[in-house]
Amino acid sequence: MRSSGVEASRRASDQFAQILSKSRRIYVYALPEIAEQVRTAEDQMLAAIDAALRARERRLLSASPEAAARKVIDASREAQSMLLDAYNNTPLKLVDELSRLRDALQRIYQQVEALEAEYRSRISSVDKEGVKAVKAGDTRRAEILAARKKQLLVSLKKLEARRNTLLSTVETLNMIIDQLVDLLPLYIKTASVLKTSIREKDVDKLRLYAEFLSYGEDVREKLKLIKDLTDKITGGLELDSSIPGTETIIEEWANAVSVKEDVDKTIDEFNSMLDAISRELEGEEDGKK
Amino acid sequence: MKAREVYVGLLREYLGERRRLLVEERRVEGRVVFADKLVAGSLRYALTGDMERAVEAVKAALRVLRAGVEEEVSAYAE
Repeated sequence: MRSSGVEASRRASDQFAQILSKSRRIYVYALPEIAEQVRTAEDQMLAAIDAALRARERRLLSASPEAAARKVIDASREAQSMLLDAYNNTPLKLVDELSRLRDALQRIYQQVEALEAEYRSRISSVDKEGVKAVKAGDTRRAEILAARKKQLLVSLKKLEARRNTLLSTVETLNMIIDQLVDLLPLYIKTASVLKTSIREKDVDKLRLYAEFLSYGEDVREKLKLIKDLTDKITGGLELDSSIPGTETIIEEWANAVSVKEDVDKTIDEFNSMLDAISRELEGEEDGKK
Repeated sequence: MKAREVYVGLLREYLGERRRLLVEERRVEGRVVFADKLVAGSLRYALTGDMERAVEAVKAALRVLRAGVEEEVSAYAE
Protein backbone atom coordinates (compact mmCIF):
# COMPACT_ATOMS: atom_id res chain seq x y z
CA MET A 1 0.00 0.00 0.00
CA ARG A 2 2.77 2.31 1.03
CA SER A 3 4.87 1.45 -2.01
CA SER A 4 1.90 2.04 -4.36
CA GLY A 5 1.54 5.51 -2.79
CA VAL A 6 5.22 6.21 -3.41
CA GLU A 7 4.92 4.94 -6.97
CA ALA A 8 1.79 7.07 -7.64
CA SER A 9 3.56 10.12 -6.18
CA ARG A 10 6.48 9.52 -8.49
CA ARG A 11 4.12 9.34 -11.47
CA ALA A 12 2.34 12.53 -10.38
CA SER A 13 5.72 14.23 -10.10
CA ASP A 14 6.68 13.00 -13.60
CA GLN A 15 3.43 14.35 -15.00
CA PHE A 16 4.10 17.70 -13.37
CA ALA A 17 7.60 17.69 -14.87
CA GLN A 18 6.12 17.11 -18.33
CA ILE A 19 3.67 19.95 -17.90
CA LEU A 20 6.46 22.30 -16.81
CA SER A 21 8.61 21.19 -19.73
CA LYS A 22 5.83 21.85 -22.26
CA SER A 23 4.75 25.14 -20.74
CA ARG A 24 8.25 26.61 -20.65
CA ARG A 25 8.69 25.98 -24.39
CA ILE A 26 5.26 27.37 -25.27
CA TYR A 27 5.69 30.58 -23.23
CA VAL A 28 8.69 31.57 -25.35
CA TYR A 29 6.54 31.52 -28.51
CA ALA A 30 3.23 32.62 -27.02
CA LEU A 31 1.16 35.69 -27.70
CA PRO A 32 -0.65 37.07 -24.60
CA GLU A 33 -3.86 35.09 -25.21
CA ILE A 34 -1.95 31.83 -25.64
CA ALA A 35 0.21 32.58 -22.58
CA GLU A 36 -3.07 33.01 -20.71
CA GLN A 37 -4.15 29.49 -21.76
CA VAL A 38 -0.86 28.10 -20.47
CA ARG A 39 -1.29 29.99 -17.24
CA THR A 40 -4.80 28.55 -16.82
CA ALA A 41 -3.43 25.03 -17.32
CA GLU A 42 -0.78 25.68 -14.65
CA ASP A 43 -3.32 27.20 -12.28
CA GLN A 44 -5.57 24.16 -12.64
CA MET A 45 -2.62 21.93 -11.84
CA LEU A 46 -1.82 24.06 -8.82
CA ALA A 47 -5.45 23.90 -7.62
CA ALA A 48 -5.41 20.10 -7.98
CA ILE A 49 -2.16 19.88 -5.99
CA ASP A 50 -3.64 22.13 -3.31
CA ALA A 51 -6.84 20.07 -3.14
CA ALA A 52 -4.92 16.78 -2.93
CA LEU A 53 -2.66 18.06 -0.14
CA ARG A 54 -5.61 19.66 1.67
CA ALA A 55 -7.43 16.33 1.66
CA ARG A 56 -4.38 14.63 3.12
CA GLU A 57 -4.02 17.37 5.70
CA ARG A 58 -7.58 16.75 6.88
CA ARG A 59 -6.76 13.04 7.13
CA LEU A 60 -9.72 12.19 4.92
CA LEU A 61 -10.23 8.49 4.47
CA SER A 62 -10.06 8.80 0.69
CA ALA A 63 -6.85 10.82 0.85
CA SER A 64 -4.19 8.14 1.00
CA PRO A 65 -0.90 9.17 -0.68
CA GLU A 66 -2.03 7.10 -3.65
CA ALA A 67 -5.46 8.76 -3.87
CA ALA A 68 -3.89 12.21 -3.51
CA ALA A 69 -1.40 11.46 -6.28
CA ARG A 70 -4.21 10.19 -8.50
CA LYS A 71 -6.07 13.49 -8.11
CA VAL A 72 -2.95 15.27 -9.38
CA ILE A 73 -2.47 12.78 -12.24
CA ASP A 74 -6.10 13.27 -13.35
CA ALA A 75 -5.68 17.05 -13.28
CA SER A 76 -2.46 16.77 -15.25
CA ARG A 77 -4.29 15.03 -18.12
CA GLU A 78 -6.59 18.01 -18.48
CA ALA A 79 -3.66 20.42 -18.22
CA GLN A 80 -1.79 18.47 -20.94
CA SER A 81 -4.72 18.77 -23.29
CA MET A 82 -4.93 22.53 -22.68
CA LEU A 83 -1.22 22.83 -23.32
CA LEU A 84 -1.51 20.87 -26.56
CA ASP A 85 -4.19 23.26 -27.71
CA ALA A 86 -1.95 26.22 -26.84
CA TYR A 87 1.05 24.58 -28.53
CA ASN A 88 -0.88 24.15 -31.80
CA ASN A 89 -1.49 27.88 -31.81
CA THR A 90 2.13 28.93 -31.52
CA PRO A 91 4.97 29.05 -34.05
CA LEU A 92 6.65 26.45 -31.85
CA LYS A 93 4.72 23.76 -33.75
CA LEU A 94 6.34 25.00 -36.97
CA VAL A 95 9.79 25.04 -35.37
CA ASP A 96 9.33 21.43 -34.21
CA GLU A 97 8.11 20.28 -37.62
CA LEU A 98 11.03 21.96 -39.34
CA SER A 99 13.39 20.23 -36.92
CA ARG A 100 11.73 16.90 -37.75
CA LEU A 101 12.24 17.61 -41.45
CA ARG A 102 15.86 18.54 -40.87
CA ASP A 103 16.41 15.33 -38.87
CA ALA A 104 14.78 13.22 -41.57
CA LEU A 105 16.98 14.77 -44.27
CA GLN A 106 20.07 14.30 -42.13
CA ARG A 107 19.22 10.63 -41.64
CA ILE A 108 18.80 10.21 -45.40
CA TYR A 109 22.15 11.91 -45.95
CA GLN A 110 23.85 9.47 -43.56
CA GLN A 111 22.13 6.50 -45.19
CA VAL A 112 23.21 7.62 -48.65
CA GLU A 113 26.73 8.08 -47.33
CA ALA A 114 26.71 4.55 -45.88
CA LEU A 115 25.38 3.16 -49.14
CA GLU A 116 28.15 4.91 -51.06
CA ALA A 117 30.72 3.25 -48.78
CA GLU A 118 29.13 -0.10 -49.53
CA TYR A 119 29.32 0.60 -53.25
CA ARG A 120 32.98 1.53 -52.98
CA SER A 121 33.67 -1.69 -51.16
CA ARG A 122 31.79 -3.68 -53.81
CA ILE A 123 33.71 -1.90 -56.58
CA SER A 124 36.98 -2.76 -54.84
CA SER A 125 35.97 -6.46 -54.57
CA VAL A 126 34.91 -6.56 -58.24
CA ASP A 127 38.25 -4.94 -59.11
CA LYS A 128 40.21 -7.62 -57.26
CA GLU A 129 38.13 -10.37 -58.85
CA GLY A 130 38.76 -8.79 -62.25
CA VAL A 131 42.53 -8.78 -61.74
CA LYS A 132 42.40 -12.45 -60.72
CA ALA A 133 40.31 -13.31 -63.79
CA VAL A 134 42.78 -11.52 -66.09
CA LYS A 135 45.73 -13.30 -64.46
CA ALA A 136 43.90 -16.62 -64.85
CA GLY A 137 43.27 -15.78 -68.53
CA ASP A 138 39.48 -15.96 -68.00
CA THR A 139 38.58 -13.19 -70.47
CA ARG A 140 34.82 -13.85 -70.35
CA ARG A 141 34.71 -13.45 -66.57
CA ALA A 142 36.97 -10.38 -66.75
CA GLU A 143 34.53 -8.76 -69.20
CA ILE A 144 31.51 -9.55 -67.00
CA LEU A 145 33.32 -8.07 -63.99
CA ALA A 146 34.36 -4.97 -65.93
CA ALA A 147 30.72 -4.42 -66.96
CA ARG A 148 29.64 -4.91 -63.35
CA LYS A 149 32.22 -2.40 -62.17
CA LYS A 150 31.01 0.12 -64.73
CA GLN A 151 27.41 -0.38 -63.56
CA LEU A 152 28.45 0.06 -59.93
CA LEU A 153 30.41 3.23 -60.76
CA VAL A 154 27.38 4.73 -62.51
CA SER A 155 25.24 3.99 -59.44
CA LEU A 156 27.91 5.46 -57.17
CA LYS A 157 28.02 8.66 -59.22
CA LYS A 158 24.24 8.93 -58.98
CA LEU A 159 24.42 8.51 -55.23
CA GLU A 160 27.18 11.11 -54.90
CA ALA A 161 25.15 13.59 -56.93
CA ARG A 162 22.06 13.00 -54.75
CA ARG A 163 24.13 13.33 -51.58
CA ASN A 164 25.66 16.62 -52.70
CA THR A 165 22.26 18.11 -53.52
CA LEU A 166 20.94 16.78 -50.23
CA LEU A 167 23.88 18.26 -48.34
CA SER A 168 23.30 21.72 -49.75
CA THR A 169 19.56 21.42 -48.99
CA VAL A 170 20.21 20.35 -45.38
CA GLU A 171 22.85 23.05 -44.90
CA THR A 172 20.61 25.81 -46.19
CA LEU A 173 17.64 24.45 -44.26
CA ASN A 174 19.75 24.30 -41.08
CA MET A 175 20.78 27.90 -41.50
CA ILE A 176 17.23 29.15 -42.14
CA ILE A 177 15.76 27.12 -39.27
CA ASP A 178 18.40 28.48 -36.87
CA GLN A 179 17.63 32.03 -37.99
CA LEU A 180 13.92 31.37 -37.65
CA VAL A 181 14.31 29.91 -34.15
CA ASP A 182 16.00 33.18 -33.11
CA LEU A 183 13.64 35.39 -35.05
CA LEU A 184 10.23 33.95 -34.16
CA PRO A 185 10.35 34.66 -30.40
CA LEU A 186 11.50 38.23 -31.17
CA TYR A 187 8.65 38.66 -33.60
CA ILE A 188 6.11 37.23 -31.19
CA LYS A 189 7.54 39.35 -28.38
CA THR A 190 7.20 42.52 -30.46
CA ALA A 191 3.61 41.62 -31.35
CA SER A 192 2.90 40.83 -27.72
CA VAL A 193 4.46 44.05 -26.37
CA LEU A 194 2.80 46.02 -29.14
CA LYS A 195 -0.63 44.72 -28.16
CA THR A 196 -0.05 45.85 -24.57
CA SER A 197 1.50 49.10 -25.74
CA ILE A 198 -1.52 49.96 -27.91
CA ARG A 199 -3.85 49.18 -25.01
CA GLU A 200 -1.82 51.38 -22.69
CA LYS A 201 -1.36 54.14 -25.30
CA ASP A 202 2.39 53.89 -24.99
CA VAL A 203 4.32 56.52 -26.94
CA ASP A 204 6.86 53.93 -28.09
CA LYS A 205 4.30 52.08 -30.15
CA LEU A 206 5.42 53.49 -33.51
CA ARG A 207 8.95 52.22 -32.99
CA LEU A 208 7.56 48.86 -31.88
CA TYR A 209 5.24 48.73 -34.84
CA ALA A 210 8.14 49.32 -37.22
CA GLU A 211 10.07 46.52 -35.49
CA PHE A 212 7.06 44.25 -35.69
CA LEU A 213 6.67 44.83 -39.43
CA SER A 214 10.35 44.29 -40.06
CA TYR A 215 10.42 41.01 -38.09
CA GLY A 216 7.27 39.91 -39.86
CA GLU A 217 8.84 40.58 -43.24
CA ASP A 218 11.93 38.59 -42.26
CA VAL A 219 9.85 35.69 -41.00
CA ARG A 220 7.77 35.56 -44.19
CA GLU A 221 10.88 35.70 -46.33
CA LYS A 222 12.44 32.80 -44.44
CA LEU A 223 9.27 30.75 -44.64
CA LYS A 224 9.20 31.32 -48.40
CA LEU A 225 12.83 30.18 -48.65
CA ILE A 226 11.97 27.05 -46.71
CA LYS A 227 9.01 26.33 -48.97
CA ASP A 228 11.10 26.78 -52.13
CA LEU A 229 13.86 24.65 -50.70
CA THR A 230 11.68 21.82 -49.48
CA ASP A 231 9.74 21.76 -52.75
CA LYS A 232 12.91 20.25 -54.17
CA ILE A 233 12.33 17.26 -51.89
CA THR A 234 9.20 16.31 -53.74
CA GLY A 235 10.74 17.46 -56.99
CA GLY A 236 14.12 16.44 -58.27
CA LEU A 237 15.74 14.87 -55.23
CA GLU A 238 14.22 11.37 -55.35
CA LEU A 239 16.65 8.53 -55.39
CA ASP A 240 16.67 6.15 -58.28
CA SER A 241 15.04 2.90 -57.17
CA SER A 242 17.11 1.09 -59.79
CA ILE A 243 20.11 1.54 -57.48
CA PRO A 244 20.24 -1.61 -55.34
CA GLY A 245 20.18 -1.00 -51.59
CA THR A 246 18.17 2.20 -51.76
CA GLU A 247 14.89 0.70 -50.43
CA THR A 248 15.36 1.97 -46.86
CA ILE A 249 16.44 5.37 -48.11
CA ILE A 250 13.41 5.58 -50.39
CA GLU A 251 11.17 4.73 -47.42
CA GLU A 252 12.88 7.41 -45.33
CA TRP A 253 12.45 9.78 -48.24
CA ALA A 254 8.70 9.12 -48.31
CA ASN A 255 8.68 9.97 -44.59
CA ALA A 256 10.56 13.22 -45.25
CA VAL A 257 8.08 14.13 -47.99
CA SER A 258 5.21 13.55 -45.57
CA VAL A 259 6.91 15.76 -42.95
CA LYS A 260 7.47 18.36 -45.65
CA GLU A 261 3.72 18.28 -46.41
CA ASP A 262 3.02 18.86 -42.71
CA VAL A 263 5.49 21.76 -42.76
CA ASP A 264 3.78 23.26 -45.83
CA LYS A 265 0.41 23.07 -44.12
CA THR A 266 1.77 24.63 -40.92
CA ILE A 267 3.53 27.38 -42.89
CA ASP A 268 0.19 28.22 -44.53
CA GLU A 269 -1.52 28.24 -41.12
CA PHE A 270 1.29 30.33 -39.70
CA ASN A 271 1.07 32.84 -42.55
CA SER A 272 -2.66 33.15 -41.85
CA MET A 273 -1.82 33.73 -38.20
CA LEU A 274 0.67 36.47 -39.18
CA ASP A 275 -2.03 38.07 -41.33
CA ALA A 276 -4.49 37.92 -38.43
CA ILE A 277 -2.00 39.51 -36.01
CA SER A 278 -1.22 42.27 -38.53
CA ARG A 279 -4.90 42.93 -39.18
CA GLU A 280 -5.63 43.03 -35.47
CA LEU A 281 -2.79 45.42 -34.74
CA GLU A 282 -3.54 47.62 -37.77
CA GLY A 283 -7.19 47.76 -36.67
CA GLU A 284 -6.18 48.79 -33.17
CA GLU A 285 -3.79 51.37 -34.63
CA ASP A 286 -6.51 52.81 -36.89
CA GLY A 287 -8.93 52.91 -34.00
CA LYS A 288 -6.54 55.09 -32.03
CA LYS A 289 -6.05 57.60 -34.86
CA MET B 1 0.56 29.13 8.34
CA LYS B 2 0.30 25.46 7.45
CA ALA B 3 3.07 23.72 5.53
CA ARG B 4 0.65 22.99 2.70
CA GLU B 5 -0.22 26.68 2.39
CA VAL B 6 3.44 27.65 2.40
CA TYR B 7 4.21 25.03 -0.23
CA VAL B 8 1.34 25.97 -2.58
CA GLY B 9 2.11 29.67 -2.06
CA LEU B 10 5.72 29.09 -3.05
CA LEU B 11 4.68 27.05 -6.07
CA ARG B 12 2.43 29.91 -7.19
CA GLU B 13 5.26 32.40 -6.69
CA TYR B 14 7.62 30.15 -8.63
CA LEU B 15 5.25 29.75 -11.58
CA GLY B 16 4.65 33.51 -11.73
CA GLU B 17 8.35 34.34 -11.63
CA ARG B 18 9.10 31.68 -14.24
CA ARG B 19 6.33 32.95 -16.54
CA ARG B 20 7.66 36.50 -16.32
CA LEU B 21 11.19 35.33 -17.08
CA LEU B 22 10.23 33.17 -20.06
CA VAL B 23 7.90 35.73 -21.62
CA GLU B 24 10.35 38.59 -21.15
CA GLU B 25 13.49 36.76 -22.19
CA ARG B 26 11.82 34.65 -24.88
CA ARG B 27 14.31 31.86 -24.45
CA VAL B 28 14.67 28.83 -22.24
CA GLU B 29 17.79 28.90 -20.13
CA GLY B 30 19.41 25.95 -18.40
CA ARG B 31 18.60 27.40 -14.99
CA VAL B 32 14.86 27.31 -15.77
CA VAL B 33 15.11 23.68 -16.86
CA PHE B 34 16.99 22.81 -13.67
CA ALA B 35 14.67 24.80 -11.41
CA ASP B 36 11.67 23.06 -13.04
CA LYS B 37 13.20 19.71 -12.16
CA LEU B 38 13.50 20.77 -8.54
CA VAL B 39 9.89 21.91 -8.48
CA ALA B 40 8.57 18.72 -10.13
CA GLY B 41 10.60 16.69 -7.62
CA SER B 42 9.15 18.70 -4.74
CA LEU B 43 5.68 17.36 -5.54
CA ARG B 44 6.84 13.84 -4.84
CA TYR B 45 7.98 14.88 -1.36
CA ALA B 46 4.73 16.79 -0.74
CA LEU B 47 2.48 13.92 -1.78
CA THR B 48 4.37 11.46 0.41
CA GLY B 49 4.03 13.81 3.38
CA ASP B 50 7.57 15.23 3.54
CA MET B 51 6.41 18.85 3.43
CA GLU B 52 9.61 20.27 4.87
CA ARG B 53 11.69 18.84 2.07
CA ALA B 54 9.06 19.85 -0.49
CA VAL B 55 9.15 23.48 0.70
CA GLU B 56 12.95 23.50 0.68
CA ALA B 57 13.03 22.20 -2.90
CA VAL B 58 10.73 24.98 -4.18
CA LYS B 59 12.73 27.61 -2.27
CA ALA B 60 15.88 26.30 -3.92
CA ALA B 61 14.17 26.39 -7.32
CA LEU B 62 13.22 30.01 -6.75
CA ARG B 63 16.81 30.87 -5.86
CA VAL B 64 18.07 29.14 -9.00
CA LEU B 65 15.48 30.92 -11.11
CA ARG B 66 16.25 34.34 -9.68
CA ALA B 67 20.00 34.22 -9.62
CA GLY B 68 21.01 31.05 -11.40
CA VAL B 69 23.08 30.25 -8.32
CA GLU B 70 25.85 27.90 -9.37
CA GLU B 71 26.30 26.35 -5.92
CA GLU B 72 22.60 25.60 -5.75
CA VAL B 73 22.79 23.76 -9.03
CA SER B 74 25.78 21.66 -8.04
CA ALA B 75 24.37 20.91 -4.57
CA TYR B 76 21.04 19.64 -5.88
CA ALA B 77 22.42 17.98 -8.97
CA GLU B 78 24.11 15.34 -6.81
